[in-house]
Amino acid sequence: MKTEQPKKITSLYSPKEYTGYHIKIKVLLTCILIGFIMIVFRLFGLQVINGKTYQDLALNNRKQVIRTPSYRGEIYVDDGQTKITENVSSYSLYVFPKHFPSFQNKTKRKELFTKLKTQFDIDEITVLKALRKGRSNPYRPHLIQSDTAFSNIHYLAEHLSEFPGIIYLSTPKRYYHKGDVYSHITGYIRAISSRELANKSDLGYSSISVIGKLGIEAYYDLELRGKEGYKVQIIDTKNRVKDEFFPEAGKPEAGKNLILSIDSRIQDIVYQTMQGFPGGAVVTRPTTGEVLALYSYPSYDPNIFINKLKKAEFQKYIEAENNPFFNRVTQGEYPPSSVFKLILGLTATDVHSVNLDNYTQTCYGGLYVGPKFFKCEATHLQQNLYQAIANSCNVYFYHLGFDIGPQSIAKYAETYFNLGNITGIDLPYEKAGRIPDQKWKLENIGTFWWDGDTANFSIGQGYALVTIMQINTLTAAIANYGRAYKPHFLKAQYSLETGETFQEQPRELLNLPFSRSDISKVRRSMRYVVEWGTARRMENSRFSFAGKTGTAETFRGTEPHSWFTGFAPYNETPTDETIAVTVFVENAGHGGEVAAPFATAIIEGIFLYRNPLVVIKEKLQPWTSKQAKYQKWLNIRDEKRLPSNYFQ
Amino acid sequence: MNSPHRPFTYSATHSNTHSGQNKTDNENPKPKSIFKRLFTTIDLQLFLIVLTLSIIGIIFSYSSQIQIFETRINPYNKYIKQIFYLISGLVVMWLGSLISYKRLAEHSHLLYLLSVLLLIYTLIAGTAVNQSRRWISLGVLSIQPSEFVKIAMIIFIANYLDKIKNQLGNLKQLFILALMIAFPLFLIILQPDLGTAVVFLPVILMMIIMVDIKRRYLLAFAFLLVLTSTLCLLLIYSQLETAPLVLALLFKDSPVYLIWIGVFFLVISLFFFSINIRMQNLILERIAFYSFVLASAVALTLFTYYVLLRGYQKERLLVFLNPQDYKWDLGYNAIQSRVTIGSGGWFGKGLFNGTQSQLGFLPSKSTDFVFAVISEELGFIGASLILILFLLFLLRLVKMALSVKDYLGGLILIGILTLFFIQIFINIGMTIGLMPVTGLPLPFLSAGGSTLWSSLLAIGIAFNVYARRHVNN
Repeated sequence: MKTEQPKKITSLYSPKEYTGYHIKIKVLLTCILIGFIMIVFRLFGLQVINGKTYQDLALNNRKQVIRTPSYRGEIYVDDGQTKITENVSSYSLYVFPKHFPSFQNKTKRKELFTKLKTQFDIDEITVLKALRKGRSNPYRPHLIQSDTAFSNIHYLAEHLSEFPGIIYLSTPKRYYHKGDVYSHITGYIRAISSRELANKSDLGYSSISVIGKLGIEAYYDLELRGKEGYKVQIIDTKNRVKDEFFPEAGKPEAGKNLILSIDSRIQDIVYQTMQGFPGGAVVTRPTTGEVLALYSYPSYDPNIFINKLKKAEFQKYIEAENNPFFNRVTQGEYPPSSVFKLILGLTATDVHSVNLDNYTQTCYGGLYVGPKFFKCEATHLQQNLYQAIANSCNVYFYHLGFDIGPQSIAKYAETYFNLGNITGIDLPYEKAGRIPDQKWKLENIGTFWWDGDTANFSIGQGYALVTIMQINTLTAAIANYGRAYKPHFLKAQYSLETGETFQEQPRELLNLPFSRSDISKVRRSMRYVVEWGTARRMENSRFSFAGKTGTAETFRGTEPHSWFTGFAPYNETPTDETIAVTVFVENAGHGGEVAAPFATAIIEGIFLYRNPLVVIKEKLQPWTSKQAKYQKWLNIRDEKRLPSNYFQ
Repeated sequence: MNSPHRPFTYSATHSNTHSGQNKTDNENPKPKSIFKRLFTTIDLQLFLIVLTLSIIGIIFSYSSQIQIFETRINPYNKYIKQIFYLISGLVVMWLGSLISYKRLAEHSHLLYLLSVLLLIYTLIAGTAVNQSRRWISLGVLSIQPSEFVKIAMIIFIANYLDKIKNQLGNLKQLFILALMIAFPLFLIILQPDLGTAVVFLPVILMMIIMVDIKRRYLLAFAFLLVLTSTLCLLLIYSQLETAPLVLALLFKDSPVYLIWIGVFFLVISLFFFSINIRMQNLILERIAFYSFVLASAVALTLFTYYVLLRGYQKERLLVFLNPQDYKWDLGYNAIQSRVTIGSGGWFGKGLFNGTQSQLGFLPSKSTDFVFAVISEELGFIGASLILILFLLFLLRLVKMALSVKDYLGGLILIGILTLFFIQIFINIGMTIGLMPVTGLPLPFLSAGGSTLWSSLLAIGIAFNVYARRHVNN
């Protein structure tokens, strides 16, 4: 150091002269150092602190996850052999926006558009729409053509390099046998919408998933769809696959096949019966709660959703007079009308203020409640419970309703008969109906509850609303002496891979707090309905069944809704053969005139197919059957002349 | 007006100063061999650093070509070319160090003329790549004249500043200089090659700083630059959706407000100037001066934004401000570059194993984004080593600049030093997201003939100055 110092001093350029220059260079040097320190800090931040995130990003950059759709479980009817749905595979074309020529590359783009048009008949607009959709995620395939002809797929596979960004995937398609008959049960599937995807992405849905939209397809979507698989491809920017592997977690799992309790023949009978009459009908098995048939007219053909939705066809359904997509059995809310009298009758047996054993009322064709006259269908004169239910005498039930009180009726209807609550049937979007009370009326109508409301409520008019399914469950409960099971379609589900079968166990829904003798009184009155009551025109039926008609008043000028709910056969002890049938026809007429014959047709059809020998036996023994009929008539005549103090 | 801190003055006793140095030369009695004499100008330390960097550049140009998927191009084409460029570039460097820089400076007006002619020729007959004309095709090779113009301009400006060093108070001289600089810069911007033009501004600024210019002018110049660039950025930022409402209201769609602001300052300036003609008040003069600077900054901004800047250049700046919104189109480069560097981690993915670069996610991987490839394949350690090499390189240049004793040489060295530093900083800053994306190569590492040749030529000129630091001519 010391040797250098004199050198500088002896230099002609005195340090003074250098200072400005040197200081400026040193400032520059400081700038350089600061710049480099900035770079090093930034590099450290990128590579060391955030290195892991960027490594993941880089991995995602060259990793492409290709979804492989899983086998969607098929739906069988109760024999376990007949399919309602059929899986058909078809190929669809997708655009992969990341690898599609960008908008700067005009010539290549135009070329590709013309090629697509000539080869696959895909318009430029559809591709552009798909590309626009793909702007948010260019690594996802977006559908441009479904159901591409196989020859076209073959061509594409051979000329893949000529179509950058165009890929084909096989998509499972669903075909519905007798779609029209089962549509309200099966529902249909559609490609998942972006909103659904956003809501359900944690359930494993992806953009190529299909999802059940209605019916069993929607309710059991998770069981049916299984698990989508995926494979991972290592790709370069030109979408050439450099490597491909199938991770263990990406193995697709087949969906479970479902066996429904639907009896295809009963369903056919119900379907044929209901044709032309907007309404719903449901047949269940009271001992288990299994639904044997469910049909709502009008119905739709789910097969229109398979292929590209034809607008005209869909429009036809949309504009149809009675919404075909509306399942009247579970979603239709109607006034229960006289069917509600069954509830009132049963409730009366449990309410201590009413001693039903000697409870009679005299019907003079109506009743004044305050200033308003509430009429009855006829002048029934003195009526007991049997007669009142059989004749559907309003006056009797007005009195009964006043004696029980609206709170008690509502309480029983809600807690024991489950009205105002969904039945829990395995169909989506079920409605709950409504049981009104004072609070409800004050909140929704804005007026207080008055006696006229009680009168209306007692005969099932007014504000009470029920679904056909609810009425069916309570019918089943009566047929089964107080116990009803949750109505369900699913009988068993089995997985193809493990071969395991899961039998569904019936779950209790209703457990009526009435004694067996009380319920058998109501059962008996329901039998009288058919024998000589409001449904007496059905008395000549080959099979003995019991039921209750209902006539729901609607707006003036339209026919009333027609109800019939019943069970067959009318035995002391219900067996697995027993069915509960509920028929509802919109704006058709009196319950005894429309719904009851429909129900009879259904019941006769069912028992005839179950026991075809009945007809032959009839023919073989004409005299005995005639005799039996005569005997029956005699019985009816006796019962009609029952004294009013019958119970004593 | 003479400044007390004039750095260099030619001294009559100049030769005496180097007696010690000359002694060391004389201590070696043996006559130098021809070979040694030929290469006596070359500084070994700097040369070794440059050679190392260039070889690393070749390795990475090979790395970027190794798995190229385009079958129609010979995959090893580029790196063999790069080797050829290096060898020929070393010859260019040696040639650049041969003719004395003073001789070069004497004829710098010819260099200037040649540069301008070349640039005009490029604009007329250059080969267009991606809507810009930057290249002249010479049969096998194509050359980017703007790369060489930079060096010519440094020599020219150094010479000019050296000549006017005694009349620096004279605004007229500075104004002429500004015009002389602006013309070729304008030609370069017309190509359009904004990156090269922008690189030039700090170089000129630094060279002017080295001269003892009036501090006021320097301040005004720096103020003008900063204000213009800020206003331009604000204009661009106001186009963003997320821009503050005030900005959007002021600047979006129309420059009316800006024009009025400019007119306002111009009027103020003229007003005070006219008052001042009689009063000769210093404060009033200052006010007139600075409001004129403000007005000219506004005018320059409008000129830059509406005339000079092309749409894509504005978009690049926009992307720099908000890259995530342009993830898939305009911001793609910037984001991929960051991902590439970030995924390198501490030690990198190994040479030739970078996935981002090898699978083609990173664009321009052998040219503009070569630093990203290095960072990916060699990690933080490797990138730091490269940075250390660059730092050593710059420090060596600084040391050379400190040891040079004459004005002209010092200015040339400072120009070259600043040029290299700015290029390195902008390029690396661009890859790591500190700077907007500009098509600027990284010296010695980026593949390409013109950039390597011009860098080596600049090094040759540096050698030239350094070797002749004792020679009084």
